[in-house]
Amino acid sequence: MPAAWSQRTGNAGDPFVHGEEVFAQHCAECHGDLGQGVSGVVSIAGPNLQAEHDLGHVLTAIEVGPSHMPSFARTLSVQDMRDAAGFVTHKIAVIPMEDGNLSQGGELFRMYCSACHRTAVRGGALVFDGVNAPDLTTKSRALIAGAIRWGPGPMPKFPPAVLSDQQVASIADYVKYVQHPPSPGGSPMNWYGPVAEGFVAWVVVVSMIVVAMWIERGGKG
Amino acid sequence: MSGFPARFVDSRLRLARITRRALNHIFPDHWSFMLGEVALYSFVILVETGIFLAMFYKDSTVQVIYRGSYHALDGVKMSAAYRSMLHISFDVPAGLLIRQMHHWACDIFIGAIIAHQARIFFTGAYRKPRELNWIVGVTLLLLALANGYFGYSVGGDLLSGAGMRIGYAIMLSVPVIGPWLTFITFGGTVPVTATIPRFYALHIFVVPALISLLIGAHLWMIWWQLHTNYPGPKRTDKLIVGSRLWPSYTLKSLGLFFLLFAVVAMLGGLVQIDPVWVYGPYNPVAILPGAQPDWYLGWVEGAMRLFPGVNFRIGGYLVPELFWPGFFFPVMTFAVLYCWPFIEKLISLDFRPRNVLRWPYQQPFTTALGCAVAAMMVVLEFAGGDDVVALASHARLAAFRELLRVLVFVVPVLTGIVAYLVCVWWRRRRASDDAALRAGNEAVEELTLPQ
Amino acid sequence: MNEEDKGGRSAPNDREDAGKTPEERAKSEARGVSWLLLGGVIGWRAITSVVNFLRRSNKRKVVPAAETTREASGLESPAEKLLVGGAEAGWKAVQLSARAISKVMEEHTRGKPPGEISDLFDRENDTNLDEEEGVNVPRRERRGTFLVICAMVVMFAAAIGFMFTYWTGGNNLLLGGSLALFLAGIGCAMVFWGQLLTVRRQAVAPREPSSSSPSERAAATRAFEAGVQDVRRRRLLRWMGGFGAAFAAAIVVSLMKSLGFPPSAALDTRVWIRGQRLVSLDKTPVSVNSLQPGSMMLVFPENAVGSEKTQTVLVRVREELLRLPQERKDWAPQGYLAYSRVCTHAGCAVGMYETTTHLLMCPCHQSTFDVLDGAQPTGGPAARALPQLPLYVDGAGVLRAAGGFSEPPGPGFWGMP
Repeated sequence: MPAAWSQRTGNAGDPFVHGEEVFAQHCAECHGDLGQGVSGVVSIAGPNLQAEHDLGHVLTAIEVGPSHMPSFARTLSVQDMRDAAGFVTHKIAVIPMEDGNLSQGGELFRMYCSACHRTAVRGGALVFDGVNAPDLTTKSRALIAGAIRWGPGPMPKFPPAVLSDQQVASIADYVKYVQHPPSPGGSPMNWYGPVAEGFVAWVVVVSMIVVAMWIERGGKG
Repeated sequence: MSGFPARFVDSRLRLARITRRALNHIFPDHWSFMLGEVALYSFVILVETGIFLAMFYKDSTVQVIYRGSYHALDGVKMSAAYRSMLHISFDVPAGLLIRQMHHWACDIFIGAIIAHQARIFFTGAYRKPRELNWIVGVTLLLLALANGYFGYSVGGDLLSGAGMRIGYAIMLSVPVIGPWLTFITFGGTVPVTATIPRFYALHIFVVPALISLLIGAHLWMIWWQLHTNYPGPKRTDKLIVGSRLWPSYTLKSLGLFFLLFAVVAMLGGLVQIDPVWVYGPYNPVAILPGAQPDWYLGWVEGAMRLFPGVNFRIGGYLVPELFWPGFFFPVMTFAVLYCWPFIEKLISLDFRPRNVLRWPYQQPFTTALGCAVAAMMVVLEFAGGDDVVALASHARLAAFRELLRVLVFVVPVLTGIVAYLVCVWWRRRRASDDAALRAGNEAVEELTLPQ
Repeated sequence: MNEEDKGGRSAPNDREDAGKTPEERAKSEARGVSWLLLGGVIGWRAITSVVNFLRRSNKRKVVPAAETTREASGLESPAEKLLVGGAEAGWKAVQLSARAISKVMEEHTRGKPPGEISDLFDRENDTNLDEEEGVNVPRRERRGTFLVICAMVVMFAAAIGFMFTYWTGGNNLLLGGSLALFLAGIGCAMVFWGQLLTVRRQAVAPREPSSSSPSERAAATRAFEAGVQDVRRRRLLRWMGGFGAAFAAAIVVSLMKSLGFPPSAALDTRVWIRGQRLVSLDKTPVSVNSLQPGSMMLVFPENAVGSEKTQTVLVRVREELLRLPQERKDWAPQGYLAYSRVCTHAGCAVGMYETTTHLLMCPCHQSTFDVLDGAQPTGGPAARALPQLPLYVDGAGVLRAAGGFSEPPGPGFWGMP
């Protein structure tokens, strides 16, 4: 894919130079000069792009503008968009997302991440005003890996000395897996754990009272 | 019934008379008398499913490497106990069903005990001559809570590990004897290899044996003293009204058993409980939020969350903040429960044997008190799960907790006042009916019974 | 109609009633059983017709020559044989048990045989609720029979479903669902039987007094005292017996020592020793430029990686923000701060770090600790600060402990210094 891409755009000069210009002009304000991500005043302005290796994904994002991001379909030419996307996937994306190990990722997730995001990655409540650890079920691998390095909002940063690139890839793999964890036992009740279970238990106790009323109907004690 | 087996047994044990009396034993017809049976049958289901699980569970904390069918934990170091939990969940045919049924039956068991106890409390069934049975019942509740905690703790997963840590910290916080008590119980500081085997022995042998024994005593006392009756025609302190054990009561009771069993099986099949594979193995440096105990200890958890961070020293010795909500509060709760039949005597100054129940409205103060305590427990249960409630309702946790700190005092008081007023209003409305009832009962008491 | 008093009024009155009712009861019983049998036959017909239909439709679908020849020669497949045979056996069992139960009930309704000791638990005193309430008994029993049969059909179907699911690999949902249906079938059949197919009587019996009579009590006391007399005479033996019991208790208490070692040394520990390097989970020493402000890391002393007590959280903040007390001013070189990761409240791992407010938080009970201020608790139920680890940077730029934790890590206890 990259080879074919460079062949097609070969006559337009070095694509990365042009891509860098487009990125600096249109993207860096929200994503940072190095794509390291920028935390806004209220919410996250632009996520970290340093693990974004999927060219198609980046192109789609530029065109469509997911979430708070504006669409660049009208402001940029197709060539500009392609160059910017190529710059992102070749120069900005410095975190290699290979060699992930699912079970090692699980171990690390339970040490560093599950305290806030819960073991089932459905997010968790923090006591800090108005801040909850977000639900990770819709996040891509690149967003997860980027957030680990960058530390959006109140989340701490995890530099390479704490988590190596391979470990970051492992955690991203694990999060992707637990986005849809196996629930062979039936309804997981949004993975709320003992609180939801206790609620169901009481619903059942009350329904058993109704059953007892049915069995003893008409009985006056 | 004159079959050969019956003749064979009776010609050796002379059981005909006793059997006839048993078959004719009278049980009142009222749904509220079945709550205790729900608890009893939950225990039966717990024992049945527990036997199945004991065939596969390993009470060992030896560290092993997992190579099983749940590939997200492949190659992870874990205790043999946790590996056997995964084995039961993924590899034993119907293992997950039985495991989930066991856990659900436990949650329902304690719920049914509390519902039963509430019925006893709000109808005054604990009064003389049944105080001893109340005490046995409170002990059964205590043992059920303990066994629930032991069962929760032996899973070897991250959630049960958190529960064990917190239980350890609570026991450690007891003044004077805490550290010694903790080390005798847990065998050292957590995580220790000794704890899971100990809790497992208590969970499957000691506590169930005690529970069985006390259930026997509980039922024997009910049998010997006969059930109470709700107020009504012919129901006096000297007469019992109801249906015979055979066949109507047997069919009703066994029907209830199978329906309860069906509900537990349905939950075990359709609603997932305690997904240990998502929690992961216990690891002292790993942690998860939403580390709640099962609901029956949620009130203690709630008290621990709401209690302010205050500790002080007595003569240089520390009384940690955890002691008050974690140990003192539950101990006092149970002390009051144990003493309640005698406390009530001081309030009502009623020392006569009572076989006819009171409707809740006939004892406004007791009912109001019971409602207030129940309301407080509900608020504490919410406090115990406040982070999950806040997450699910998009509320701010800090604000929600501050609110709960107020509600835990306000709600019980309001509930108590409202309950009292409702009782008084109701009693006034029913005063005329009661007078008629008393007249009827006196007429019946005058009748001579065949000797 | 003062029906309420009928049961309690007097015995002869009730006996007259009883003289009439058993016949009627037996009759209605017989009617019930016949309805049961009729219903059973209908049910059986229904089952066989369904089975036949399935067989026929199966025949239509089956293409292979071998199958058709087998069908043509009238042979059933083993599964079909098993199904039909099982259903037949099950129905036989139901018939037999129904017969047995109706026989037993018949015996009961016939009243007591002559010569039996009369007592207060006689069934003759019972009130027949159906008669009192004017229920159409045959209609009730027809309904009951129908409902019991329905419940039992559900039960058989669910049992077959469970077996099939189990032997074919066992999906938890289907297993649980079919087991629940099977058990609900049994339960409903019993409840319907009890409510609709038994004679609905209400019994009244006297209660015994709750306490023994004074004479019985006195007799028991006398019996006990007589024995006590014999024991009381031997004073020496009594004392020795008492000592024996005390020794037994002492032995039991002594055995408790096996259960755990004395706690003080294990609890009152500062964990770190001056000069130990901080190492990460994979045992690499932590250098002074490995973290940037707003980062968090899990560190251990070199000799105890991954253990409960030694886990330490290392964070880095901008130095100008620090508000450490005077005596701890040099504990945080270049903004590096290390605290025990075991919560002082209930001993959970303090796994959360919120960089915008510089708070460490325990996920179990949401206690918060201010990183800048020596991890003093700022919210939640914790009362004591997290123990802090003094740090220094050695010549090679590696972080080392400048001593032990400021307090013993973990939840509080009585002898905590």
